[in-house]
Amino acid sequence: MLDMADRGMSDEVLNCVMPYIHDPKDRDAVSLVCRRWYELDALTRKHITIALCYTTTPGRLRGRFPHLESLKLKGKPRAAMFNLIMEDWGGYVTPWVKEISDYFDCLKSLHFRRMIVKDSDLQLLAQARGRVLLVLKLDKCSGFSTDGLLHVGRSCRNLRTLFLEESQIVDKDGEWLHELAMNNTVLETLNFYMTELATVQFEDLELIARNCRSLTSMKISDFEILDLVGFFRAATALEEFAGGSFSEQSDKYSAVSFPPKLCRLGLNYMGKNEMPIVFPFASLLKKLDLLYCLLDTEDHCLLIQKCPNLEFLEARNVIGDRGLEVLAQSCKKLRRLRIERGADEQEMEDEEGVVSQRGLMALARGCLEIEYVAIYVSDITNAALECIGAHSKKLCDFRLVLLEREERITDLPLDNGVRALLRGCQKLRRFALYLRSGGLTDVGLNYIGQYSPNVRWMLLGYVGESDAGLLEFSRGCPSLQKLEMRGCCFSERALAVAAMQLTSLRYLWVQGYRASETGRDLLVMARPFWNIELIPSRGVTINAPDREPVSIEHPAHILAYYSLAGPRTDFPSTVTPLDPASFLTL
Amino acid sequence: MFRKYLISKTQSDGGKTNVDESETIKRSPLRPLMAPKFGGGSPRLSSLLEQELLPGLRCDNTMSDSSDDKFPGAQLTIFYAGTINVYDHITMDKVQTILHFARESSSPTNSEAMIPKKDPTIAPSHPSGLPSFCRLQADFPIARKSSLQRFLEKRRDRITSRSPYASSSTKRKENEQKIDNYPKEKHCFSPSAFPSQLGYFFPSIKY
Repeated sequence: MLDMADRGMSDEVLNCVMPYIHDPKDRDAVSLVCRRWYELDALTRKHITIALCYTTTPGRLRGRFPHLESLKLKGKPRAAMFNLIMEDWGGYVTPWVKEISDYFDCLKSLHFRRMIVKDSDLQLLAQARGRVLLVLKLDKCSGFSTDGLLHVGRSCRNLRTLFLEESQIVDKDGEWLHELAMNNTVLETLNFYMTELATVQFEDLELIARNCRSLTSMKISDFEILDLVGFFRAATALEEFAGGSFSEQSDKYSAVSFPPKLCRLGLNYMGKNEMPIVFPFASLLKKLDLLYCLLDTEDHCLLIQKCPNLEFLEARNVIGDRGLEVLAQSCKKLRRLRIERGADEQEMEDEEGVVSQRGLMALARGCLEIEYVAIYVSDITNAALECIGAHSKKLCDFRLVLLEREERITDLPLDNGVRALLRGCQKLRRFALYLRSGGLTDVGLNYIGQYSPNVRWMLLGYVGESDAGLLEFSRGCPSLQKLEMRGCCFSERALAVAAMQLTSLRYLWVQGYRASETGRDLLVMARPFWNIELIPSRGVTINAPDREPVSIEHPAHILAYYSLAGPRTDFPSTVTPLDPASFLTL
Repeated sequence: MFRKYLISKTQSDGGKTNVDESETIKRSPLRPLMAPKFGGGSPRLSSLLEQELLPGLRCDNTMSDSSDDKFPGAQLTIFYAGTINVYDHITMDKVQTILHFARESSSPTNSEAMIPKKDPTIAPSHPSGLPSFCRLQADFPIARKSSLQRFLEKRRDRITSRSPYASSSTKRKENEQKIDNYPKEKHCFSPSAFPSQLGYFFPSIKY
């Protein structure tokens, strides 16, 4: 008894408490207390997210967390989602899959995001982990085909979640889905939304629905809705559906009946005439995805009015200010809103389909529960941002992009509005502001630095006026771990100094900046464990429909990040590490 | 093409400080239209390197009287395709030749004539616009998310496949129908806050 008291908290007690500590920051703190706690954390940690796969190595991960049950790995920079990063940039899962297949006996859940996956990787994974794998997410990945998925379908019989959303998959046949349908009875989530998989058979979808009584979420590629009637009838536990497609004979769609518990929905290519099929259960909807529908502003208003329980809405800016006003009136439980940018050509979208300060202010006043807002606006004012600061007290994630459409913006610069928003929204952890020249002065940039104590990620586009602004900004932002910048007027030197001054910074991505004469100014931030990579400018041809291909130049990128693994060893020819030693001869 | 980092040159002393450069940037005209061009419609400020190597450059610079005599021969570092090559005692005219060759090779109007390496007396012909490494910092549009991009292209394909001869008129017809169906609501709620939208809007294909 006395011995235990001398040693403080006994291992027994710690063992009881430790499994209840899940938050990664808490775990991080626990592991720093003493060696014994470090070891206990290492043995009991269930999940790790590695925000950039090149920050460590598979061996190091296994060395510290041998009993890991769940792993999330991210590869390419976020800019890859906007076609700004070349396909072969890197982020290969192969070394990780190899380590997983040799060790990591407890690993049940794998999530690869923006990484390159090969069929051979999937084959190895299926062979080594097939029986225990519960969750497999290939999220915006590329490099594999349906042959690789075939191994998954055959061997991963305990899979609860198969997630392939937005991955680029070579489509050879639909056999993989057939194998999955034949071998699996426990599937809960199947997602190949926003993929171009076109050879899947609806009979296999029906079979999955019949065999997997716990199927709650299905998101598929473009697939005629009329062919899914049988699927909908069989999937009685379904809560979420997205994808599909509508063809011309709209009168037949009234025969489609949806599962009774369906509350998260996204119907692609749904038009005004088909919309009424949603009305009978619109009041149950918690999540609505209208990003890929064919509705105009008026249609949005009609539909949203019928969804008082909506918590998450995604739409293009065709929703318009009027749609946001209806949303603010009707959807008091709204927590997440994403308004994406529609087509630029006027004839392709409703002329009412612009979002501005009017819609934003209505939203702030009406939806007091809002936690996440990502929005493309055509016009903005300081007052709108002040309104958000005044009302949106639960806001954690705010992203605003000012479109290039309008020549004159009502109220720039946005210095005061940004300050008010940041001061008002104390819970803000993620922040993006993408403006234009004159959108935010150095004073405004300084405000961002001063008033964002908890923000961990930022994307800043066309903000500030000079290096002085950036340097002031970088004296603040005490929690900023990941910074992305685009269209900067800042010099290399200022960027490098800023990177050194931001105390929590571990990842920096910049595209478009004032390069120094020799290129060596970046070395101001050279230090141990800090990798600096350069992606040079490149010409990209955009095949715009109905027009001649347009050639645009993508400016150079800087990517810098902390790593325990040293410089990458798998660079493509188009990426160059910045090696300080090479400048010693100058 | 790794243009900006292809060629660098040691400076003996005196480059512009960042404060100087910042002030000169402030003085240049700001254009709110579109994303800013670095240099706007007027030429971008040239770096010290550009001023020295291309004294006739049509840029707003304060050091137009640089001459070859200031830098008789210096070290030249070339970054190319993952390799770094360092050369000592390279004279100004040789650097001009190399720059000219690189510019010719990478410009859209690429001429077939090769510059003989042994002839150092060829004066570099200035491009009609800005040198290629000025354009690196020109404006670039807001990037669009790939998933949205694909959807918009597919939607356009659907429309043109339905009525290949009347894509925009089909939409206009649909608009007219809508107005017929909802005349009153349209007038009550039409957004008058943006009179500029109809007047100033111009379609763009920026991605």
